[in-house]
Amino acid sequence: MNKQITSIIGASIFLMAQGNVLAADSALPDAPSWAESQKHISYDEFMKAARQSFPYATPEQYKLRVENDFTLKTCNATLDQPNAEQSAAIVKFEKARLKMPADGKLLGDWKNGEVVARGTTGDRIGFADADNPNHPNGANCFACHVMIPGQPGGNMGPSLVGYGKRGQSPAILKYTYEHVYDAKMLVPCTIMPRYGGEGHLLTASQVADIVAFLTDPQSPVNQPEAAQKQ
Amino acid sequence: MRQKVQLGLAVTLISAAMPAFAANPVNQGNDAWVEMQQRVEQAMPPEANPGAFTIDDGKALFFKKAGPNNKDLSTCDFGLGPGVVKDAYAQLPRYFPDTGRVETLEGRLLTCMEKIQGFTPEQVKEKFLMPMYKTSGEEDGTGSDLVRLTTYIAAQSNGEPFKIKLDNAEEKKSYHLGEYMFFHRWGEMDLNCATCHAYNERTVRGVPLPNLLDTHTAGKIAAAFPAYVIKDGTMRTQWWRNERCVMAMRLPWIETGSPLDAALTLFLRIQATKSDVKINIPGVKPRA
Ligand code: HEC
Ligand code: HEC
Repeated sequence: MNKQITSIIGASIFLMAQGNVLAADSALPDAPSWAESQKHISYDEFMKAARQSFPYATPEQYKLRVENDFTLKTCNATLDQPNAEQSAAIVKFEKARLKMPADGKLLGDWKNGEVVARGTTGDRIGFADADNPNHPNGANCFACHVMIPGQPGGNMGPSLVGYGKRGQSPAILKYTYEHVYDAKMLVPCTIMPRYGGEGHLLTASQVADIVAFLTDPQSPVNQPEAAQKQ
Repeated sequence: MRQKVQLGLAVTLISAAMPAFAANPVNQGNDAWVEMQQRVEQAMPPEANPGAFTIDDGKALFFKKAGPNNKDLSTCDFGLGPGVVKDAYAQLPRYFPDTGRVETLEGRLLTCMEKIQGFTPEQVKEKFLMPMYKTSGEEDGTGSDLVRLTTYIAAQSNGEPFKIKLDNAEEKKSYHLGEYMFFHRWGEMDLNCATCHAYNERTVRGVPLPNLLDTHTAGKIAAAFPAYVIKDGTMRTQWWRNERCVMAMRLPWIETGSPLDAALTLFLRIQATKSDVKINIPGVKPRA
């Protein structure tokens, strides 16, 4: 076993070395790399290019969407590998952003939660297919997660089918609310978007509706495939 | 196949030891996406692709006199000398000393409209950019003159692979700007292009994603644009394709020919240059 792996590693390093020789011959750069890009371009240089490339964005849109906040700055600078100290700083920053629903209820309406979780649009700006700002935003959770048995979902996040098995204790509701409102508070630099707060897609009450969609025993997330309507 | 699996395993093991490689699998076989694209191409073979008419429309526009100078575009220099269109697309974007910028094909056409036909920047914007922007929405089959012109010039490189040399400092800088944009996390959804396009097995809602760092996949994609998009019933350029994903990331509208548009396009076409896929326009895509 070990021997075989060693020889595969050896062969691969050989292949990679060969690849580098070829790349050098044709003067093309090596395989793209996040770290390499940052050796050539600084954040400020990139933002300067962004300002020339997004001429139609308002100052407000620059601040909320184009500029990195503290958390994304840290994730970019560490290539998504913050050390313990940096992770703690992100958690602190995100905890300060977290807001609870005005009525204090973390458990909303699961039916509306399904609509929000399925929605794919909201906050898109520009000349074509821009979204009506008065229309509630969607979260497109299905892009990354399988959520309902037998229905298509993405594989970038874990399957959430049967999530309700964890119950609806205050601790579970709090964890679920926090994960959807602000995943980076729990997993610094996770690829899961932060959904709550300024500059993100959902309102606190929409997040509470999604908590219900995930945890309510009646929700299709927690029903066997046979019970699904279509 | 077995070899591929073993190599994949080895790369995974090496990744653990060498984090620099972690997000950069190259050429491991982006099979699910390649198969999906093949099915689309079988469903609409070249002889059935309505995009062929756009090549003719673009040609007519290219040789039509227009603008304050009443000139056509046939003396436009796409990098190989005035009026040379054969093979030009295969080497774009490139640095143009006369503008001091790295330009895409669309960007260069806009430059020639100003320099040769005598349109002011405002006229170019009103007559060519805005119509392309406003017709780029889903299921809008109107098309635009800039897309028609782009399609005609691009098709003059059919049968050639991309062969960008990246042999000057400006292009190298632009390439790394594109590389930076590919990996940089930003926007309302905290995403970068790499999240969805640097891995072989990832899906969105069950649809396989192209790994744009797999040089074969990158080649297939670069070689297909401008492509006929079935859902929209019209031709779309590489700028448009990138804009759709920029928009999905909730970033602002990206200007055609801008530094980031050119950089991203150059970055993707360098991956394509590393493949042997030949340009084949009009390509075909099911949807955005
Ligand atoms: C870009 C991909 C992506 C999107 C979109 C996304 N997630 Fe996630 N999600 C992830 C990943 C990756 C993880 C695992 C890492 C982590 O915990 O952050 C995750 C984890 C989770 C978890 C914790 C899982 C557990 O077992 O405790 C929950 C709950 C969750 N997501 C819910 C959602 C909901 C609800 C939405 C839509 C509002 C959503 N996600 C949208 C990628 C995504
Ligand atoms: C949340 C995931 C996601 C992100 C982030 C993303 N894309 Fe995409 N991209 C997609 C999907 C989905 C498709 C379409 C796949 C299909 O339907 O075939 C796509 C398609 C593409 C294609 C065309 C593939 C083809 O078949 O011709 C290109 C090029 C592309 N994206 C570039 C980018 C660039 C550049 C970025 C960053 C600015 C980016 N994408 C960010 C999801 C994403």
